[in-house]
Amino acid sequence: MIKFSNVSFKYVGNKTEKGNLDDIDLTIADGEFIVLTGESGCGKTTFTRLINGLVPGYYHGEVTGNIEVNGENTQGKSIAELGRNIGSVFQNPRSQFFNVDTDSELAFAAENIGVDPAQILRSMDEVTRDLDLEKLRKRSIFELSGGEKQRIACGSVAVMHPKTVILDEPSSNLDRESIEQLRTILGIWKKEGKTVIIAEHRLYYLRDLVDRLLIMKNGKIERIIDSDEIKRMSADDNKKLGIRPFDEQEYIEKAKRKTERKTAGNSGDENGKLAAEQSGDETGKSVAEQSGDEIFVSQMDYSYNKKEQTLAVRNLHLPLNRVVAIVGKNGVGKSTLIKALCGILKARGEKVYLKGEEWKSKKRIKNCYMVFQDVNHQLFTDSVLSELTIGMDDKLSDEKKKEEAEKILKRLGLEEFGESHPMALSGGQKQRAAIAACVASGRDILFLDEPTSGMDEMNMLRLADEMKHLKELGKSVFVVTHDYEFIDECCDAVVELK
Amino acid sequence: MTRKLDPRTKLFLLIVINVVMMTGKISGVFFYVRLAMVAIPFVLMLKNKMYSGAGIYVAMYTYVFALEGYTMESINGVLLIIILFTTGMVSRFLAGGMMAYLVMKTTTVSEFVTAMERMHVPKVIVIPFAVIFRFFPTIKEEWQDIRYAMKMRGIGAGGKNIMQTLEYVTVPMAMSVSKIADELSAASMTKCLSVDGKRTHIAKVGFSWPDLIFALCAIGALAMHIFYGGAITG
Repeated sequence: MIKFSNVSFKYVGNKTEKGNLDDIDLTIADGEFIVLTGESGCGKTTFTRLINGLVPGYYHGEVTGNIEVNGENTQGKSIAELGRNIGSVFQNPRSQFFNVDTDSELAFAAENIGVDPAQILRSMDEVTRDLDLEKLRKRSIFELSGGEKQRIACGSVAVMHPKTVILDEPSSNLDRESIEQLRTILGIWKKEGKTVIIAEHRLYYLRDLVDRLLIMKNGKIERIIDSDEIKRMSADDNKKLGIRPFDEQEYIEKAKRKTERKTAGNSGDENGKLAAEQSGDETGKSVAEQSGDEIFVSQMDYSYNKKEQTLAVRNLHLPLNRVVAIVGKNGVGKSTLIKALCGILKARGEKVYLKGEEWKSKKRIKNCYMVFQDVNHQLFTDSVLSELTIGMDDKLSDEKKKEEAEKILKRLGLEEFGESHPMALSGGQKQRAAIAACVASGRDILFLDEPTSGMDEMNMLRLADEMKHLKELGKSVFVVTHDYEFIDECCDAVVELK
Repeated sequence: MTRKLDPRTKLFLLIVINVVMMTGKISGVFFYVRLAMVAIPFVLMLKNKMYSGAGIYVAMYTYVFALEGYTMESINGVLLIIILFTTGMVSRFLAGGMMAYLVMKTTTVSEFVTAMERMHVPKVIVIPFAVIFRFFPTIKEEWQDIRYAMKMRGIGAGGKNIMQTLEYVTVPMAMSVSKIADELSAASMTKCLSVDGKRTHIAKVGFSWPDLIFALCAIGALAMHIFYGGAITG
C-alpha cells in the first residue's frame, strides 16, 4: 500500500508562489494499476519521484506531509533502499542504462544489493522467458531500437521482483508496435499483482489495464476516474477533459480513409518499396494526375551498414502544399527517408524531382528544414528567441525578426520562455522550441519527426493549428508520426511506408 | 583461446605498451621489443575477428618501420626530421591507441567493475571510470546527430567562423551529455547503486593461461625497458 497524506512539494529552483505538488491525499492499494495524466508540468512526474525517492533524494526540494510505502515512512530512506522494492522505468531510453550490454544491465540492480550470482542468473532467465527478451540477451544496448531498450529497462526492473513499479512516460519515444509490447509487459505485471503507477500522456494502450485514472492539474489531483467509467468514455469525453483519447480506433479508421485512394502504379510490388497514396481532397484527382505540385522520388537508396538496406524507394509521390503524415511500422525507414529527402543523408543513386524538375540534394538542404525526434542537438544558442532569429531571412531587420519570433512563440505557447536558455526547458518545451525554430526558418518544405511524442492534449492541438497555419502560408509539411489523433486534427493525406 | 583476457591483464598490457612505445629506445634489440608490443594488439584483433583492421594495422607498421630504418641510413637534414617526426608519431601512438580501443571494445562495464573490485579499488573511483566506458558510445551517437543538425542549418565543419562552429558543436554536445549524465545518475540510484554496501557479480572474471602468456611478454618488455632502455635517444 502506498499512502500520501497531505503531501506538498516544491523544487529548490522553483521561485514561484506555487508548489509543484499541492496537498495530495491518496491511498493506492496493493496490486492497483494507477495512471496519472495531465498537462506538462502538472506534477505527475514529481508524484512518481516521491514514491521512488528521487524527490527529494536526488531532485531536491521541500516536502511536507507524509508518504508511506508498504507501511513504512519513506522519509530518511535512501533512494537505493527504496529501490529494493520499487522498480523505476523512465522516459528516455537513451539515458537509463548504466551498462553497455544487455545482460549486465539486467543483472545490475540485483548485483548492487548483493544477491547471490546464481540466483541472479536464475531470475534473469525467468524474466527473459516471461517478458520474451530472448532476442535481446547478450547484445549491445547501443544497437537496440528505442522500443527494445524500453523492454530491457522493464526486464532489469523485473529481475528484482519489485512489489511496485513506477513508469514515467514510458511510451513517449516508442512507436506503435513497441507500445503494444510495453502493454503486454504491463499486463503481465498487473496479473502478477504488482502495483503499477504510470505517468503518461498517451492513454490508448492503458485502457484495459487501468484501475484508476488520476487527472492532475497545477500540482493537484483534479479528478479521479475509475475503470468502469473509463470503459464507457468516448473520444469526445476525453477531448472535453483535455486528455489524450482512450480509443484511437476512430482516428485510425479516418486516417485509413485518407490513405485508401491509391495512386496507380506506386504500390509496393517490390521489396522495400513504398506504397504511396493520396489524400481525399474533393476534386478526387490523384497526385500523379495533378502533375506538377508534388515531390516525385523516382529512386532513393540508403543503408547504414553493409548488412541491410534501410531504404529502397521507387516512384514515391508526395503532394505539395499540404500537411502529409508519413506512417509505417517501426524500422521501415521513415526517419531515414525524411533525412535523405532533406539532403542531410546522402542517398545512393537518388533521383528527386520538384514540380517536374530535378532537385539535387544541395538545393534541397537549402529549402528544407527538419525537426528531429530528439531535439536536444538542434538547439545551439543561448536563448529560445535567438534559436528562432538565427535561422530567419537575413534581409529582415532585427526588430522585425524579434517581432515575428515572438508571434511564433506565442502560437506555440512559449511566450514566457523567449529569454530562457534552451537547456532550462522541459522536454516538451524543447520540442516546441525546435518546432518554432523550424517555422521561423521560413523554408518551404518542412519535415517533422514524431513531433507530438511528449505532448499533452493542449500542446498537441496547438501544434495541429500551427500545421494548418503553415499550409495556409503555402508551405508543405511532412510529419512522421503514429499519433492518429494528431493526424485526424491536421493532416490532409497519409503516406504509408512499407 | 576461447576465454577472454582478464580486464586487469588488458589494462596492464595497455600501460606497458604505451610506456615502451612512447618512451623506449627504438634501435638495436629494442626493435624486437617494440615488435612484440606491436604484435599484442594485432593478436587480439585477430582473436576478435577484426581482420580488415588488423590488416591495415600491420600495413601501417610495416610502412613506418621500413621508413624509419631507411631514412636513418640514407637521408639527412630537415627531411629526416620531418619524416622521423611523422613516422615516429604513428609508431609510438598507434599500438597504444589500438590497445585502448580493444580494451574498450572487449570489456563490458560489469567485467571492468568486477575486476577493479577484485583489486580492492574503492567504488568512488571505480564508478566514474565505469561510466566513462559507457559514454564513449554515447558521444559517438550524439556527435552523429549534431552533425546532421549543423548540416541542416547550413553550418559546415569547416565554416568561415571557426569559433562559431565550435560553439554550435560544443553547446548541444554539452547539453545532451550533461542531461544524459543527470538522468543516468537518477536511474542508477533507483537501481540501488550506492558507494557503500557489498555488490555481487555475475560477470566471470579471472586469469587463465592466455593471461599468463601476455603478461609474461609484457613483463619481459618492461624489464628490458627499465634495465637497458628508457632514454628516448636511441
